[in-house]
Amino acid sequence: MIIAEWKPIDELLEMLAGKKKLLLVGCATCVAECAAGGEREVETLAPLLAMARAQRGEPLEVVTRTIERQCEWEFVEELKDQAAAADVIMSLACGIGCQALAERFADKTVVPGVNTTSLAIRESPGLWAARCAACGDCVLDETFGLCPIARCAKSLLNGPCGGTREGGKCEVDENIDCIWYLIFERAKARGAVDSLLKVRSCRSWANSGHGGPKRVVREDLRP
Amino acid sequence: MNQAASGFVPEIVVLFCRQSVAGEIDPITAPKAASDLKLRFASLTCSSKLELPHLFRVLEGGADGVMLVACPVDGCARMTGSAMSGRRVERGKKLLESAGVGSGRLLLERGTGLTLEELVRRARAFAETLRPLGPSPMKGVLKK
Repeated sequence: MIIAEWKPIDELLEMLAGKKKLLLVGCATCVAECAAGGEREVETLAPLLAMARAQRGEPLEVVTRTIERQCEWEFVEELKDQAAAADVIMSLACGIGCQALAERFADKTVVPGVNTTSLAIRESPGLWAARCAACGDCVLDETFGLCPIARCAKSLLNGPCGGTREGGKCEVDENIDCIWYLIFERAKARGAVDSLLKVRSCRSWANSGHGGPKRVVREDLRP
Repeated sequence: MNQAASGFVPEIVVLFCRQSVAGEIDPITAPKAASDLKLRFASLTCSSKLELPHLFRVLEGGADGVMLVACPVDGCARMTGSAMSGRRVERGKKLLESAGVGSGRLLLERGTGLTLEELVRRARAFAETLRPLGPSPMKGVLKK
């Protein structure tokens, strides 16, 4: 899932300065799963913003709505009437959802309520960790299903680096596994350590962000 | 003006876990036990059933303070419910503080076999800590 986290309240209030009617929009998909932008978070943030503005003597009317997915036009359309009545829209979805609202309601101020941080998995309740960097050239077949691009602090393809801590932890944070340590352990368990010694050609980053904004075209699905 | 001197009586909503009190406490008649306070009561099947939106909506509705009454952490009939509600209240306090509303408007009390008189005693002590904060900022908004 795409994960995100709330922006600091001060930053949110700054974005809403001078506005009187806010439409706070949640997304019931990824950001709901990571407890950043689903209905529960929308209904938590809405009274908080209203109280914060009242405390400052600048009342803010907050209308809430959570749609199934902010990245699908059909669902975004459901906001049409409420968007028309608001003078600012705050999206609690990822950057994709926020941009969809800004594109559909181009005459309105649309602001992000969260910082989108990663493509991640829920490791345990209350803990999400990155798993994919959307790099455009997946190497999971060669790394025993463990991604060195997303899960190595240096995105090394020939790790581990010299900073691996005792016990296989990353030098950046003792709570983060050294992914190359785990790759080695998994290779060893499968009796395939030799496969890690294979010499590979240089990786092409052309299919990642380095090739400009990414587009995927499927002619058979085009109207 | 000093809020205590102005005669400000905070409105407090007491949300109590049914398992934490002695016998039945009727939320309708309970406020009569303290005529000098402005109390409202609501009973919960477990304090963990309450989430932050509920607590914040009560404050947004004009209450000056919310007192959540839970069971002891190791005495929750639903195992981890009381511990979870404690974490939620802590997060709620941090958010209220960061919003400039003040964490002091939220209080978690724990106990078992609590009588109505004990709830009122704790609410009275809470009222003393709320007085310096003054009325809820929402009161001015809701009047308009």
